[in-house]
Amino acid sequence: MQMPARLQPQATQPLLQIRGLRVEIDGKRVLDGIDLDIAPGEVVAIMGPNGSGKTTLAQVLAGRELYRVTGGTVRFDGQDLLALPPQERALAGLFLAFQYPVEIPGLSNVYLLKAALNAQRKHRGLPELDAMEFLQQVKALMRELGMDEKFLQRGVNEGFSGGEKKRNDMLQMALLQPRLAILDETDSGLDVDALKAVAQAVNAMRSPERALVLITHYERLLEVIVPDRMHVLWQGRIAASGGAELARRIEREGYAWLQPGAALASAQEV
Amino acid sequence: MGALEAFVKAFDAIGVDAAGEPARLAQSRRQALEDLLRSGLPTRHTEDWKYTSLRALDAIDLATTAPTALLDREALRDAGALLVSDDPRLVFVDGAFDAELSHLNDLPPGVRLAPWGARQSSSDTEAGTVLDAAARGGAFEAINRLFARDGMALELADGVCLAAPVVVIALQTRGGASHLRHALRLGQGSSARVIEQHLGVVQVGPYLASCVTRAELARGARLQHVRLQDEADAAVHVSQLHAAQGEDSALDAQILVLGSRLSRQEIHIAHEAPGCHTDLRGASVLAGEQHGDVHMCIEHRHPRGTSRTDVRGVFDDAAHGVFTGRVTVHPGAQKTDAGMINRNLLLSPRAEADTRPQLQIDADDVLCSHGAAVGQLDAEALFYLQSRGIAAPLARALLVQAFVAQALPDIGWEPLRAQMRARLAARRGLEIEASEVWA
Repeated sequence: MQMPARLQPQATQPLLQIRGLRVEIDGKRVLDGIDLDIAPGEVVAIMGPNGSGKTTLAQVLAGRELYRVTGGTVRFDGQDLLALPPQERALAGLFLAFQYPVEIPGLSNVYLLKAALNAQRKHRGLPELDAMEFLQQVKALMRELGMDEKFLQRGVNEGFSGGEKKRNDMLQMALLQPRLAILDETDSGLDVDALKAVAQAVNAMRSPERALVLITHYERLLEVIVPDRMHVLWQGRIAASGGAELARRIEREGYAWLQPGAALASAQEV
Repeated sequence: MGALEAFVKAFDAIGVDAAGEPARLAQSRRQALEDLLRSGLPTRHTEDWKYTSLRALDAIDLATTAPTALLDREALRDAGALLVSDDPRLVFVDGAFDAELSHLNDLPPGVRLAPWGARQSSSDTEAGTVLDAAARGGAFEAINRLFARDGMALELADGVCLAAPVVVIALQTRGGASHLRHALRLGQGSSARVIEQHLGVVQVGPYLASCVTRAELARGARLQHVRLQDEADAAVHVSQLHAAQGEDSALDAQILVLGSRLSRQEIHIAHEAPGCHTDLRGASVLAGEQHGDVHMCIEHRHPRGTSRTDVRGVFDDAAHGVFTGRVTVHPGAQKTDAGMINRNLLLSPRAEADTRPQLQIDADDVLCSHGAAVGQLDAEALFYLQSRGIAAPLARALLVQAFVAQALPDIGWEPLRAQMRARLAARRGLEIEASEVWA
């Protein structure tokens, strides 16, 4: 799909470049030719109805083997992203905040945080943090996120509420400082306070070198984290692109106007 | 020559009246021989041994039962084989007590803790009951009774709480066979924690290590019994814990099975009075050609008894795990509350797990459940860890650790936890800085 000229990425090299991405699961096509450029410094929102392929896109980018890529290319910071195993994508600076973070009883949260951070530091040629430095850093971030320190000793996400799981993912993101963070429905199931804490954490991540992708159902997240650009996924394709105003139209009209035969969807019309 | 003939021949060589044993012990040996000859060795046709073959015994020189004369104790200390602490420690090398490696000072009043082997010639009464038969132990209990010449005797007077854990280490340094037999007697309201560790030096040839531990808990007594089995790769290990529980007593028995070519861990619990509580927990983590058989039986004979059994297995390569759990609720054991679960992870297509949790209930007012599962590592959890930059082999190892940790959550003694984690990590071929892994 050709994007309107004014929405083409600026002269900067895109951090993420997706071309013609096609993906199947169990023989069923879920993504049907995605083209998308994301530049450093951008905050991009992706909306779309249930089953439009949002989570598939997020998981494929993070390397979930469940899905079969049948066509297209993805370049991340110049590298062939699809050729990398999940952990190398993470080490290259890609982070996925999960729609449903898994519970891993028996594995302590603090160990995961430390193992993840030290893997990252090692990859960047930095020395591992000693226990003291590490705990100081983690505890400071937890305070900002309004997380109780008791969550450090618990099993990973074990018995956490929905909001606590999302905060825990935000904690990991803040610790790992990725170059591209994809937040899959991070706002779903959050109460007002949790949403505020998450928004604060995400907004604090905004920087000229980093890009953020927000995948969401609801407009309300986009009121607290205002994106630079928006895309609407519809049946495995990007059916509309535009600015933040696109979210308000979806809030008003739903997704029906994207259906074939409805008025031609484009950014100019919004 | 079959293994049974080999055992009998080995015993003949020692003789019933060897080492001037007191009459009561000699009588026990004769009885043991009779029991063994009557039962014979179990075969795959024996229901309780359906999945476990004893063929590995054929490679073992069962007649060699004497301890090694030359022992490099410094090397053992340096190798970190011993749990080093100031707590009471009994070390048995090749089936015999080693005073130099042991530590038996500073015991509080009301606690008697000593090896019984040294006393067997001097005092008939002290060691006499150690060799009494344990019911339902089968052929290996009889073999153990036939050959065991040493072991721990621990006795707690009423009301005595032994805060320090008692560490009992069985160390194998030569091929052949070694047999240990321990007796624990806990008086009313007393409490103790006993940790049995079974180790073999790395290069040792094929050996059989058998160990039978009998525990009697008087009214209100509390015992935690932990068995850490990390024998050498060439080992056949057979161990049994028999516990008879008095009224309102509590037993927490845990096993971690890491070593041996072939192992069989049995736990037999009998509730001899109302209100007993039993926790049975365990994990086997096996790889290569290892075969590990865990066999647990709980007899609820009186009202208001409770038991929880949670046993896990992780099997890689061509390893084979067997679990048999039998909860029997006898007539009259009303208000029994018993739960049993066995979960297994297969890490390779050649690995195998056979699981048989069984309930037999002959009372009508009870709450009983049992379940079993065999599966693979959770792909979603694996992906989650990888997506945080953790390489697949470490991610898998962490998930195995996490799975095992759930079965053994509150060992309550950090040196043991640390050693269990370290040994598990070593067995999985990984250098994990393990101190914080377990939640």
